[in-house]
Amino acid sequence: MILDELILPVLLVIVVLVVGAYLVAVLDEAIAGALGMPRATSVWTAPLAQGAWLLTQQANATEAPDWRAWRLAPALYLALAAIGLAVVPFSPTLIPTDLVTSVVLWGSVEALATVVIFLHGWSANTLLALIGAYRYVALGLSYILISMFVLIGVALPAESLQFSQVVASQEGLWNVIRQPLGLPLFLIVGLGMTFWGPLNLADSRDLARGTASAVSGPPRLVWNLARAAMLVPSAARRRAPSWAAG
Amino acid sequence: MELLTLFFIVLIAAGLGLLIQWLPMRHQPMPPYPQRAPFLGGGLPETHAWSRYHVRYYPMTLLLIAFEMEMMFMYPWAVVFVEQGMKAVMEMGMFLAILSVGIVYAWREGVFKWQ
Repeated sequence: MILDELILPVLLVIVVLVVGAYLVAVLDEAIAGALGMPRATSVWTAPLAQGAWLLTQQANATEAPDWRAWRLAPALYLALAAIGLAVVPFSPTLIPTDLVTSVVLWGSVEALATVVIFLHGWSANTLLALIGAYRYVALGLSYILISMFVLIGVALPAESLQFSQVVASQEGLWNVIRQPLGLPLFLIVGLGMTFWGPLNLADSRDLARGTASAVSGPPRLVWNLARAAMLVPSAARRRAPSWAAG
Repeated sequence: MELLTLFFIVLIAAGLGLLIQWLPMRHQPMPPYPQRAPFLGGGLPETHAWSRYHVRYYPMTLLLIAFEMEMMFMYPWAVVFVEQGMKAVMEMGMFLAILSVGIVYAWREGVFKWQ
């Protein structure tokens, strides 16, 4: 019982967290290469090499940062990604933690992500990082609003806030067909929450990488890892129920 | 049991995040002060970034309450919606009407202005 309900789910989440983040980095590298950006010789080793390099680099510091918050923010973002993964229904029976209120949990992860990302930009005490952080607060509110409608839309036919019930409610008709707007909207929210690709406005180039502008070395590695890991549950969330029902 | 599992997942993930930072940085010397000056595209900082851009708890809280609390009520509402039907729709309509008064108030106070 301890093995089934405690050790295996924890292991599953941690393994998917690390492997998923690695695959996201590989995909990102491959897409960047396909779009003609300069890239490393192998897409498979490039993220590993980048990670090892960051691990050995010196960590930058600003004059008077909020130390505890600065070190805690990337770790907390990683923890939020892990919470997100913990409620993903990998299959109708394989859900790491099948909470009765898992929809609410995912909603709170999105709200707390706003806090953590703001903390990351705020604690560096640097202008560009702070602007990036405020940008995310403004955008995060609108992301939450969209994701709210998608989440509520999923919970309505299931008459439950449990993701296994949501999967079960799609036996007859997939939500992708019942609510065609849900999937694209939710994928956009996922990109926005991890400020990835075209929605990278918090850590954007015009702010010299925004909230991460003053961060280098191991803290940068954790931040990048957490962002890639956060993309995994947000992408998996909406897709998983549709194939699991089939 | 699920909550306990979740607790361990949070603990391990956050611990992992802190460990990856702490282990390699244990023996690293602090960068010298010239290097620690914040990057301003070549300019020198005259004030702390915090003094120029104060954290605005009040408007942030107000906005989050207006939008997020709506969601808090919508969760249980979504569960009983099919059962209650029209009654649930009207209840949500009233609730949203009250909340939008708050949003209009926040608007009047200039919360949505990007300063």
